[in-house]
Amino acid sequence: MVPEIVLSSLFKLLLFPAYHSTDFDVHRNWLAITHNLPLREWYFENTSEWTLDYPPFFAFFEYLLSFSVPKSAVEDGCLNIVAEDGMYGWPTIVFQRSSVLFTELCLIYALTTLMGAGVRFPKLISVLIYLCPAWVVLDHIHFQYNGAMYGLLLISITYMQKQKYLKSAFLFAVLLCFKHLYLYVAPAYFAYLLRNYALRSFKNLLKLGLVTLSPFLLAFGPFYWTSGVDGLIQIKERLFPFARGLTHSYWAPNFWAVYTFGDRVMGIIYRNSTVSSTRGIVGQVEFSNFMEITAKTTFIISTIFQLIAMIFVSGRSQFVECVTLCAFSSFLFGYHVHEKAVLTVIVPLALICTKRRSYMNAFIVLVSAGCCGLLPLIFTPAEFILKYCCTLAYLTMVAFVVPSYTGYSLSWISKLYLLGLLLLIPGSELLPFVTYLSRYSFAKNMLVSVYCSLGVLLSFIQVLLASLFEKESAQEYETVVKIEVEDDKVEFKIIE
Amino acid sequence: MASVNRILSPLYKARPWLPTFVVLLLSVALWAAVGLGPYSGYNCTPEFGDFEAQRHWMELTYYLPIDEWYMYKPQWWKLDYPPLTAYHSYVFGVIGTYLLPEAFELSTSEGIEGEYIKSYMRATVIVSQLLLFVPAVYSWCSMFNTNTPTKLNRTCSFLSVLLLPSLLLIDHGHFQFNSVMLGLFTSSLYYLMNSNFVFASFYFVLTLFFKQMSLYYAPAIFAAILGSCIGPAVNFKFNFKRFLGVSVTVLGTAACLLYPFIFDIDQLLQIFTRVFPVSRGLWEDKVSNFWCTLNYVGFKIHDHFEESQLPLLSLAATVIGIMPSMFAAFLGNKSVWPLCFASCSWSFYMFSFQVHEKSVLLPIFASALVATQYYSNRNINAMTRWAFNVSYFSLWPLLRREGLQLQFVIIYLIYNYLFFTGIPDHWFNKLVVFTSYLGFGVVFLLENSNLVSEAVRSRYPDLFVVGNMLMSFVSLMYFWVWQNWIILCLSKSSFTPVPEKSSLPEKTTNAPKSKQSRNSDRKNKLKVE
Repeated sequence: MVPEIVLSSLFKLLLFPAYHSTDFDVHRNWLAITHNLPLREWYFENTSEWTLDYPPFFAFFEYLLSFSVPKSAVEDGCLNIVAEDGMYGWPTIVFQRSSVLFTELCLIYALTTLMGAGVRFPKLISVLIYLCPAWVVLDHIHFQYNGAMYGLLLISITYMQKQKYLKSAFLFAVLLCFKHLYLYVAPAYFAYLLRNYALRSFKNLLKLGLVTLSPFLLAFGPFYWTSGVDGLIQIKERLFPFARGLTHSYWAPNFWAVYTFGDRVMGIIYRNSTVSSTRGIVGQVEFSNFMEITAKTTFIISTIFQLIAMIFVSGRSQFVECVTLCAFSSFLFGYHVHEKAVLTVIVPLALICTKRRSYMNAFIVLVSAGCCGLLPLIFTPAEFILKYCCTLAYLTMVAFVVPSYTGYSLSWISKLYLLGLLLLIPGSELLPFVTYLSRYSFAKNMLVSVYCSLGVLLSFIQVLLASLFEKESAQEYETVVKIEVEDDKVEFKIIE
Repeated sequence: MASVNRILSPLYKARPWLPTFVVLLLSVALWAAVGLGPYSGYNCTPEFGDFEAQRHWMELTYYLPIDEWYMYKPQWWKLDYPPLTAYHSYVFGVIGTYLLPEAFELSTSEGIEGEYIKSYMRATVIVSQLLLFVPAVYSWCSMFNTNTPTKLNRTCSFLSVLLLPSLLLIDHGHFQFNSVMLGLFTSSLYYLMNSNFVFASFYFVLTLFFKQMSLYYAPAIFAAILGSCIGPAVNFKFNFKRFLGVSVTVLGTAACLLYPFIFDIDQLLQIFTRVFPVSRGLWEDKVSNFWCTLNYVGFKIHDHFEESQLPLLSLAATVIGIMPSMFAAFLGNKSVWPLCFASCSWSFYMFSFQVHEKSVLLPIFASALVATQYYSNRNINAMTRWAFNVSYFSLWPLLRREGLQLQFVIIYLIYNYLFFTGIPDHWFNKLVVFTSYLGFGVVFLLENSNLVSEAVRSRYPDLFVVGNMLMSFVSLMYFWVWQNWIILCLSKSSFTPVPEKSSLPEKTTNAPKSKQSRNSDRKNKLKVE
């Protein structure tokens, strides 16, 4: 995997001058807040629009990071708290971008721990995960620290696979204190640990409780210490803001995209469409034909699916399936889901994609839909060619290399879906040139996200059915082990 | 085996076509990533640079009638490339005015900058390269390494040309359309190797009419075609049919390309004077060629010669320089031809008139084609990759000035990581390669650290540029001599595979070794001793 890491990192260095979203300034502002203000003011500070809205560990991380800001970047305005968008130049960009590249080491480390975690073809899977263009798009162009976060998630999952329950639970709790997005998969951890560890003995339960609570104490304790209950309430307000719409400004490819699309189509047919949904950053969606969807409805639907996973798919060897299904149900049916969250599904599903034919099909469809669904995030002309070339190269590679490695074949429905995607993406880019459709400014993104949601749904159904009804035989497990040994031998030969 | 082979072999196992496809897409992504950086003349009011020139030509050809193309406004980036470039600009001018009308308005848009125009211009380079360069290089690479076990080598050699560092940085960083010219040249060479002389000459005329710089290749191609008409390849019997075909094609293609201008002698003269400006001087900036180095070593050329004598002087030196390669090309051993073209263009770079640092692209590209031909020969590859790096370093002062340092370093690392195959076999070559890398390393280190004080820097502002230039000159001169030596070896043992070990290059070569190069060889020896 060394060549991939070297080449991909060099390529990512080239992306330093690329477009970065407001998230860049958000993170810069957090650096400034944590560096300049005492702890008790971190979550109350609101000079800038980009307030601190990640859990405390992330704030601590920014605090530590702010000490390594070089002098040139400080002079550049990297650590200034300003009301408007930050004034910064090349030194700040270099510093922040390199910090992303550096923290990606966590992901790389996590991928090396996959060996011996009961995964079939660990090398293939680590390359699949590492080269995914989603990292390039989200971390190295758009700007976020997903690499490090998903690295933690992966390490935690591999510990669980190796039956080191406490370590796994501890790491997951730490991860939750970094970014609360991972609450999506928390039910899976809860159910699996309860069934396979905690309910075995009371001592286990006690140990588990202590281990999971300690990170939360470390994270939230200082804020309680300095500003009492008010501090905790303020953090809660920041982490879970209300008054957000059902869908994000770019529709995430989930069930609600299809739902909203249906409503808009009805609106056009009956000519009673009132508003186009969520043009701005945050806003409520109104439906003219279908039933209004409240946060409570979405919560109930996703909980139902999560319960199914928690009850029926939490056997000893089914942890990753359980995580995948929980992430799927939160992503597909959650309220105000961000398209970036699709990685919470892609990463665990990648770990099991070599296990069964249906998982592999689901993975290939999901990764294609997920990556294409992320592309509208990068809308600047300079990165246009770049994003499509990377994505197409990766998806072609996945669609041919994974089947040839595993020996499973792609099903006709996956092939059909991929073919459709291949036609739809260029088509969607040509849409603005079709004069009839150009008055629907949202048409392009809508088309992409609806088609991608269909892919995610397809993949979800495949994983759900396969994990519920396909029985895993002991024989299958044995062959897996055998193949792994053979595979290593073959690779050894190739290297020689 | 280069690491690129190792990386691509799992893809090759899945589907034989897969590595080529993926590699092509990723190269395009890499081109685009380099394109994110600044371009020549970025934020440089009021002068601007090559980027503005190309943009201006697009609007100029779109808005003006064809007989004004070469007459318009000589003070603002006048059109000084041959007509095919003008037609190429016209095509992108039409598309550009449709997409971004306000960025292409003849009078008001001079020096316009912005995200959209930059992306559009970058895209025009990528599209031209995909249409004209990539297919030609692909078919060139599939001529070689045809036996099954090395089929992957085809893809790897293909990639080694696609990512050629100097070309990548000049076209996608600095901004020019060299890949179009080199693509047309590759097509010409491809047909030449397949003995299709009509198509070969057709494509070569296109090359010449895209950029006059491709004249660097012309003598060798001329010798090769001449040799195939009357030379040893046809047992010295005049092949009239072939000769007629080539002449008719050359004249016909040239006439077609010049058709809009051909009936007006003033137009033709105007094009000629614009394309070949004699008044520009022997070299531009600081080029690592013979004349410029001579000048800096202490022999002030302008003190010894009249301005009007210089073209003749350089012509004489060039003619002597190209003789061996022309002779070898005339003999008609096809496997040597690419080497002859490379050697011919190297001597043009070293000795000809009005050379600038970007001219190194022509010889280095021809050498890259040679390297694909001998992809599995470690020795030739090692030497050629060294020359790639040296020519790339010689572009450093230019690219540094334009703010492309990051891209420069990254592309250097990527390319060498992918294609490093080892060091040359012969001890003397090893010595030269090692010394030159060391020299460049020292110059680079001194330039980018605090070891040299500000006082020295301000007293000798060109210190590092000249240092770089001298290093490049000595290395490239040695490479040129080595290449002529290989031609000799190959021509002698006609139609036999390349000898794995090249013998002592400094003992005998049929290349007329100039005093300078002998000195340089000796210098290299002394340095190490």
